[in-house]
Amino acid sequence: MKSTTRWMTSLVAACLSFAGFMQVAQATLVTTEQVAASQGVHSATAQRDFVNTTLARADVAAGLQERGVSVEQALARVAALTDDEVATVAHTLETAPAGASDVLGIIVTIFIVLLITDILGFTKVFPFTRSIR
Amino acid sequence: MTVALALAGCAAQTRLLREQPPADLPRAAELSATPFFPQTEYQCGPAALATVLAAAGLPASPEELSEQVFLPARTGTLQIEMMAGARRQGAVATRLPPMLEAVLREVQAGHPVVVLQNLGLSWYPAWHYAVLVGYDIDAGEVLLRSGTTEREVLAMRTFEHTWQRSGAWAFVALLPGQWPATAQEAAVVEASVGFERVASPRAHSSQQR
Repeated sequence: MKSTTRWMTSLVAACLSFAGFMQVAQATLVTTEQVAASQGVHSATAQRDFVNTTLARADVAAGLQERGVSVEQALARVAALTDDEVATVAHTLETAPAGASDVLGIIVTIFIVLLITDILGFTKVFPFTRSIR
Repeated sequence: MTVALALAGCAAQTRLLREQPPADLPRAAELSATPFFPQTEYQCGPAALATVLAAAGLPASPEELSEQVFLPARTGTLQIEMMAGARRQGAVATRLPPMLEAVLREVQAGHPVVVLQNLGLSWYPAWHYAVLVGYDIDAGEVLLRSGTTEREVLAMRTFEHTWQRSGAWAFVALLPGQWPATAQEAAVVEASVGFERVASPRAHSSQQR
């Protein structure tokens, strides 16, 4: 053979032999069940619960961040919650009791409300009010 | 029977305790050594948490705890986050049965109790965390570390009203290995599960004992 042909042949042979080692990459969807199984969760209900809890944790973390908690703290706070607690908190972030104690503010508000209703004649709580009616 | 009494309202548990005090419950107790952290505005949750954690031997400042439990947009602290906050500091946070006698027994056993009160009305609530540190059945009073008052004396029936309005929610924060005097099995399991989530290995091993 001519030297170029030989050279070409060797090159192609080398390429082909390398090609034999290559594998085509395959991209398939990894199902949620497989992810759950890799975490050790196998039954269908357990897998559903696992997925729901993971999503709920993300919801709670997002909810905390919306309500003024920093990102790292929100994640740390959610990580400290049990699955049951996450499920409870997820829907009640806005409505659950939040201990604060602005008691004085409450009392002042009610005082003013009652004062107004007293003046308007709907109530008679205070002895010093005279209704406008 | 106690459920019926609770539904009847009118501080029935207080009346029952005063009329028929349990023989094995001392008439009065006070945990005067419990530390006091006066709350700043809206921060009754971190202050109450700091109080029970310091009493348990796991001191933490209210400012530090505020970052972990306070929810700015709600200007307050959620109940679940109070317990998670205690957990993160290495305590086991256990819910108590919703009975007045249970929280009094805890105090008698030397455990200050975090309670959630509704100081306002059911339709206009004023939620507030305080720490129960004492009681006197004969005088019909309870003692609280509450707000900016180190030793708040509250009529037991008023305490019962405000505490019932929060669903009689209370918990203790104790070192791993200690258990509340009155905890029930479900609450203990829940507390353990929660503790395991965040415990460091050293804390975990003492819990196992």
